[in-house]
Amino acid sequence: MSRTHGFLREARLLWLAYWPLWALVVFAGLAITRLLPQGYARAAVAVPIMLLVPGSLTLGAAFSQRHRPRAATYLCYAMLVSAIWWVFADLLLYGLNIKITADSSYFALLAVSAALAIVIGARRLLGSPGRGRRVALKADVPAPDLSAAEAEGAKIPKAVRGSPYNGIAAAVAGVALLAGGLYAYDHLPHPAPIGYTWIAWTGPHLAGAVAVGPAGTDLRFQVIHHQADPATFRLSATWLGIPSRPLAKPLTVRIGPDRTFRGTLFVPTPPDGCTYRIAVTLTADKQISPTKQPQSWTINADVHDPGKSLKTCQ
Amino acid sequence: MSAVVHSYIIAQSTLSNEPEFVWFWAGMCLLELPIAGLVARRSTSHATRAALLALYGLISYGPKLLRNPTSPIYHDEFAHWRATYEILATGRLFQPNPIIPIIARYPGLHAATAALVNATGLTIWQAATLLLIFLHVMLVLGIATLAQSLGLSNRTASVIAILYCLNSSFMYFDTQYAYESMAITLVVWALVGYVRAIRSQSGQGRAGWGVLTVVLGAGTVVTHHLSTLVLLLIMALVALALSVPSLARTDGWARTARTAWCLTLVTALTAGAWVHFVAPGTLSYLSPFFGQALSELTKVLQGSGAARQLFGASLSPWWEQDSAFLVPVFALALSAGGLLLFRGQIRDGHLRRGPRRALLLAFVVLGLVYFPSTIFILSPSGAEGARRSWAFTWIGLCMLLGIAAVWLIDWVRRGSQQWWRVGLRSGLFAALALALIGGTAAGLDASYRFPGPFLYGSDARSITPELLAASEWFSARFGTGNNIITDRNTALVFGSFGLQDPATPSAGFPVYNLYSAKPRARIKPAVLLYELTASRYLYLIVDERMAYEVPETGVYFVPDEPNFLSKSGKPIFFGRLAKFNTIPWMIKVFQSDNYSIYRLTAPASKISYQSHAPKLPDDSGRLSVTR
Repeated sequence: MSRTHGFLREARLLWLAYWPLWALVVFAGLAITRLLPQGYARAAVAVPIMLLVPGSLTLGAAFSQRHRPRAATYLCYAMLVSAIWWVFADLLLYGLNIKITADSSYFALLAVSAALAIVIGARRLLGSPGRGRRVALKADVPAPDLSAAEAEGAKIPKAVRGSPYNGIAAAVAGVALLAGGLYAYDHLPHPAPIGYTWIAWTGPHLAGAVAVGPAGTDLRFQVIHHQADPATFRLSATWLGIPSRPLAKPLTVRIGPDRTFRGTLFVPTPPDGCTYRIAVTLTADKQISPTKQPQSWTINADVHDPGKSLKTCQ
Repeated sequence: MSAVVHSYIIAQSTLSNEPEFVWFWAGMCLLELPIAGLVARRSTSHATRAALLALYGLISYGPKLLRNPTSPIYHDEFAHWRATYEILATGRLFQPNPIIPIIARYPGLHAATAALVNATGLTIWQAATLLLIFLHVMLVLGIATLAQSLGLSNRTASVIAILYCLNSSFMYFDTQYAYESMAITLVVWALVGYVRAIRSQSGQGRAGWGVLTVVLGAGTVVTHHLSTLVLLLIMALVALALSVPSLARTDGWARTARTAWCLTLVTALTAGAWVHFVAPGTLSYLSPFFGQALSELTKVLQGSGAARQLFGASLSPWWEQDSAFLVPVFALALSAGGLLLFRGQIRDGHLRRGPRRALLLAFVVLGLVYFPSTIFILSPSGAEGARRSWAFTWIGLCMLLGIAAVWLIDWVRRGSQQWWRVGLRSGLFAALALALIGGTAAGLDASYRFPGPFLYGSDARSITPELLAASEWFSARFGTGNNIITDRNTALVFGSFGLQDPATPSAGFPVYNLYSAKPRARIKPAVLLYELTASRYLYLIVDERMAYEVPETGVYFVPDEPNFLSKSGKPIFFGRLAKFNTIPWMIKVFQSDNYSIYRLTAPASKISYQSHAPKLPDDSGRLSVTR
């Protein structure tokens, strides 16, 4: 028992004497967390290091041990300042024209943490003469306008302030509630998402009129029917104009739920040098659009025969 | 939490109905009121109170977590998601943001999220959620720490934190993935450092607290413009209060005031430098909001303008709406009580002249700004600004409310009769529940807070699998980074997940004229088509529903757009969208149930297609399909 007690005491002293160095070692160990699988497992190990070390070192550099914030305030500041350091590190990298990556951010923060650890060391060195266990610390002058609550609060013994384990229990309870709610919400039945159907050109991009040679040309398209039920459609192709004219014999197609089909429209050579507009239309057998018309989907394109002179277009 | 989950499940299948609200509030009251009760108990230890506040912070994030656990859903969240994606994709800060351009100049939130993604391998949304939960808990603890720093007891400070959580932004607005959610927490903790620096003696940590104030102030500066401005105003207000001899003059008051002014100056210089060198567009971004709100409000007061109808198109039940009106009444009553208690403390000599009195009065003044700001809720432009300001004014207001609330709780405890005590305590709990419901209802509308069926033009219910599929198809077909023209809600998905660059319509670049132009009429101004070509706007995306539906937000493209509704209240786009199928320089490359995508092939001066069909046999072409 006494050996264990002695060991713990030594370890505590060692920690207190060299904590900036240990913190730096822990931060350097962030690189090792990359060996863990990506996701929550790695986050569980990496996030506490990311959100505690740079901030703790900042607090160590900014305050003497005696006046450093305590307990929850210390933790909150350490985490918030750490988060800000990550932002500042990215700004620094940007300023130095270095690409922000996992590695560059890590090394930037490691450098910052090392600098902060040095500041803590320097602060100790400069503040050390005349200080030690045998030298009594100068008592702080109480603030002149302490409230009654503050004056009383300072006298409350640690035991009455409560156990710090309450915080851990609260965090566990809160996270469990959130995770439980999320799990339940995810696993309960939800209304099925509303489906859709679409038609689109595939093949080469249409950035103007499509050139149609003497042998005609094929234009490819795709139809996706992302619905729970199968449906019957009429597929037609037309030459647009006043009046429009059929371009090909229409087809009737039945598409199953969540199915895709590819289509091809063979376009014959236009009779002259004009540019014509063609359209491929998919019309639902039963589906009605909000305008009370049978639901239809259309894509169009312009075609022309570059081999024929514009003069032949009338 | 089960009740909250149940309410969301109900909400998914109906536009809005009462049971979803009843279940939700039953769940939230069961979760939060017992914690509030335990916090207010005298016998609760300090550490337990801190733990309870952390628990309160965690569970109060639950509704937003369940609202969109896997992806952004609010308007601004898409913009911030894109900003974070750009940092990860390019390794550079300040990448242009097509949805909200100004956020590119304030990368605090995005850089912090990107760091988490880089270090953990989480997705952007997972990392964002983790960060937001952390910041939300810190906010609750920060308010309690700030109150304690002002010399209030641990118990009063904890009650103050609970009361702060009643403000309209707390549960949904400041939990969204947006820069203000991070900045509000930084502001509160910067103020903690600021107050402690002011109240510390020289050589007893004052410099350390000063460093923390500067670091957190700088963190706010690089994160959010409006929060920076508010932080500066609060710091200046405090410094001013510390410079008023009748409030603060004691031994060493000049030193205290000097510390306050120095820290305010350093933060102001940091903010000024940032705005000058990095974000020069900030002032022009913010100033129209203030100007427009003031002019609208002046018109309303003069009787020449129409006031905004409160809860006009709200989906909330009557009791939620009525509770919202009760919040300022409760706040006013408790503030009056708090002011009387302050006066009593000053008279009794418990709050002597000195920094603490000056600090407390500065925060009281900040809190009292809440009441005049509520008038701005009547102005269409000022309503959002007013709501956003409450997250800040409540920092001061809750100090007043907390002091009065604790006095009230103690007064109830002193009651001689058991039934009297029980009755009054129940009354206090009921008032707290009403304030919780009303405070939240005064913030965001039910369509933001609850899931539900598609609602055209709603910021939080207009994303459909069809829109996501259209965006996915577009990116796969045409790549990313295309300049596109589309409406506000379609632009959110195309501009974020689709990584496209939607146009920002304005009076100088009125791309909405493409939609509103009558068939066969010229699109005005004539220079618009030239500009579209010169700027390489190659795609136009049309949500066909704009022809027959009015958006829930009232906005088709941008808030300051022309009126697109006819006198009968119907959209003027009706009958005007089919013209795109016949315009010579537009080719329709995609159509789904509601979306059409056109490839613009301008310049329009090129030869257009014939208006008549060619004389060819009807079956000269051929259609074929393969499964």
